[in-house]
Amino acid sequence: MAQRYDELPHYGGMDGVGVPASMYGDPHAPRPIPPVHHLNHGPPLHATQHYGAHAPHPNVMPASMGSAVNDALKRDKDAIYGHPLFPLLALVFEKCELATCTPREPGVAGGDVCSSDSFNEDIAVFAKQVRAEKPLFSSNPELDNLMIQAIQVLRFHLLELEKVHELCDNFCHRYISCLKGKMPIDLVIDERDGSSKSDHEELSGSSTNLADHNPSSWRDHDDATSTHSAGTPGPSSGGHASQSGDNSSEQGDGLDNSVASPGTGDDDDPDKDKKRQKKRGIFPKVATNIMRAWLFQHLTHPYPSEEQKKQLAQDTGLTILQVNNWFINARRRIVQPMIDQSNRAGFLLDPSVSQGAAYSPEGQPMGSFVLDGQQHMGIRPAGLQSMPGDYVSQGGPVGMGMAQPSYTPPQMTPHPTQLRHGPPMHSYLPSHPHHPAMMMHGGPPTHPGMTMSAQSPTMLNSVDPNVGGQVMDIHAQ
Amino acid sequence: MIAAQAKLVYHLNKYYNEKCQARKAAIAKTIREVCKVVSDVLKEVEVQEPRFISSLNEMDNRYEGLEVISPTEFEVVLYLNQMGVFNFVDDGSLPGCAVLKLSDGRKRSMSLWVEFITASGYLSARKIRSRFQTLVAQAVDKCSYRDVVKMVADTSEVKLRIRDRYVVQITPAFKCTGIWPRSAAHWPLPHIPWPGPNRVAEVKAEGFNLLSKECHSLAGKQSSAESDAWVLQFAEAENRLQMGGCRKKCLSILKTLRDRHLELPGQPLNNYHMKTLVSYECEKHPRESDWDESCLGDRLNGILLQLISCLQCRRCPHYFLPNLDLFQGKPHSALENAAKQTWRLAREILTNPKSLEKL
Repeated sequence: MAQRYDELPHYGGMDGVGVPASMYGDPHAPRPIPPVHHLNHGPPLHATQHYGAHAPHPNVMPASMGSAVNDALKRDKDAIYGHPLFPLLALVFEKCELATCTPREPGVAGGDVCSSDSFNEDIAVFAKQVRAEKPLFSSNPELDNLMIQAIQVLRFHLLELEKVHELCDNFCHRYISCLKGKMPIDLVIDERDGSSKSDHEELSGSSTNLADHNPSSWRDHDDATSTHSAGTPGPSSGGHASQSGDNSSEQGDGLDNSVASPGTGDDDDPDKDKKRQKKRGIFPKVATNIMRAWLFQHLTHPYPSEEQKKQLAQDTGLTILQVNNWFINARRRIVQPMIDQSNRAGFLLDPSVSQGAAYSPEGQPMGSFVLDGQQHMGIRPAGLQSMPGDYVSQGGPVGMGMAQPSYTPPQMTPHPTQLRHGPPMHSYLPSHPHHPAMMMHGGPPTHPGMTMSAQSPTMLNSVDPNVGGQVMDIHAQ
Repeated sequence: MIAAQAKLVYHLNKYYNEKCQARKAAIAKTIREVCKVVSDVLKEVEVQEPRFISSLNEMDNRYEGLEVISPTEFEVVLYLNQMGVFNFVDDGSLPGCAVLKLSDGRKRSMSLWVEFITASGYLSARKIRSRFQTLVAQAVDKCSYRDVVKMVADTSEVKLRIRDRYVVQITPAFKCTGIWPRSAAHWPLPHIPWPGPNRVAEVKAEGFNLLSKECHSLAGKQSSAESDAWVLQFAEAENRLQMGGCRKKCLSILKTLRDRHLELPGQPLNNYHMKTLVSYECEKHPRESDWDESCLGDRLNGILLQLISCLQCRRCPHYFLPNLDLFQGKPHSALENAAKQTWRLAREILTNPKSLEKL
């Protein structure tokens, strides 16, 4: 049992050397082990076999005889292991393994690790080392002879391997030359590339016979050639993904700062908010509320000054750039739609503009038109400018138009006033007292006014020239 | 054999207790100094650009995201995990790399990294790195340690030189836990009993990182693909993978040997190669008993010889991404030289364990 254990480690070491091909992913690597091992280990293995031949005998022989045989085997083995030349034997054995597994190039200066020159160097170094310590030989001449012969056999093996490599190289070169010689001359150039490739293949092929690593090389080549697309989703683990999300949100703000892209606007779309929250992080509600409040307080002029921007930045905790971007987007998304709606309303109610103008005096009691009334009153003191006052009151129609639906009856009154007022106003422009008089007349005929509402377009047309005339008169004066 | 093995293990343990521990202590001291400077620089960067939040924190006496490439070379990974919503695309067209693409239907302006997204919808690793480099250059001039730290010019990577001695590369990255890239879907190999299913689950839960750094494997490809690609890194997964037995000790010895004997011109080898080779050795020796302390010598020899084989083949495949060659871009002469030097090292250890006292 102990003897077998002795064998195993040593064989393990040899296997370690004998199977470099496994490193190259050759699944068949284990199979070549026995023949290579057997071949290279011939003489020692023969001795082992000799011992092995005795092994079965213990089963047949009496116990005492078996024990004697085992003892003899053990002593012989120990004698070999303990021989001064055994390390050299092991060393040369390893070199043979390397020579078998390794391709070589002929022109290497000084020879490579597995050349005969290296072998000589090994012998010299070993002799120098051992001679200084103890004798090279033991007291057993037969054992000494055995060790020396074993080393010589391994050396011959090494030399033979070297010759085999040379023969292989020589064969490849001569074969290629022969092929080239038989090719037509005009195809030599094209064939050279082919020959070069063939040369490579042949060399690889020859190496394959002696070294197991090359099949792996071919497989590697095949693997490299194949291209299969395979996407692996979710590179990060759950934990990392969570952390990544947090960092992404934080970095999003940084990205906004670093890149001068439009700032994140306050978007009411929940999907967009959700998406942006992943990448950029929208502004806090508090910040947007503050900026919205300011915006609604200054709808007529939604352009904060530099000082106001600074203040808003402080209040919201954002940068001035972010505040700027927010307002740019807010003006587009909040203010503009309101203006658009307002314009549409004005356009739809355009026909009532002149009516509104005429109705201006009546509008004074209405709180919603206080501004317009005030403007009108403010202009009245200047008699000559009373007409311009009328024009100003036309500006108010927006508000007037908005209120019109709920005040339909009062609008009917202005028609008769406008009708009768036209000519008298033109001829009695200087006489202001007549205005109130005409107004009084307009009151009673309310009903007839309604009857004449169908003709309002015509009245509008007739009024325009009058207004133009008034302007000319003013200018003349 | 037992005597010889025991002798080797004895000397290896002695080597580990003396040389490896001394190396660890020295590197720990250097790391402490380096991280003070880097933390200050990253703080300045964060002030200028809050999206680059420093993730360099000390936990359990080690810094998350810091890799020791060699005793004087370090890499600090800056995790930017406010990623937003990206698809991780790993179609194998870029060996060792992947791209991040906006999810379908997402607009570019929605992303946190809007200015780094290409017209095709990919998050450009190069653009982020370029922006980060500018920020770091400004931060270096402002930080408290501006007298001892400066930027390494003429490189697209973000590299700092501290006290004219240590080089630190700060790499923006995204951490992807809980998912496993398609390029590494072949792992674990079904016919190899290591690692066990529990360990596999742990490793895949650790996930991987996407680093913004140069891809040597894309040197000859289109510039646009090179610009968008993120490098796959499995630092935490590998650490989880190599727990148990003397694996960590073996790796530590290998790193120390590399630092002391394989620091060669052209920088053919770094700590990551050693780590990869340990993973492959674990596959060759899947049983836990193979990684007992008593087997340390055999494992070490196996790894060194495997390293020689890789150097001579000029190829060292990534453990999780077999299409990625870790020796890509290394000069051939450097690899050859490293192979010879490694053989001398293996020869000494194999024939004369006592020589470890002098290694």
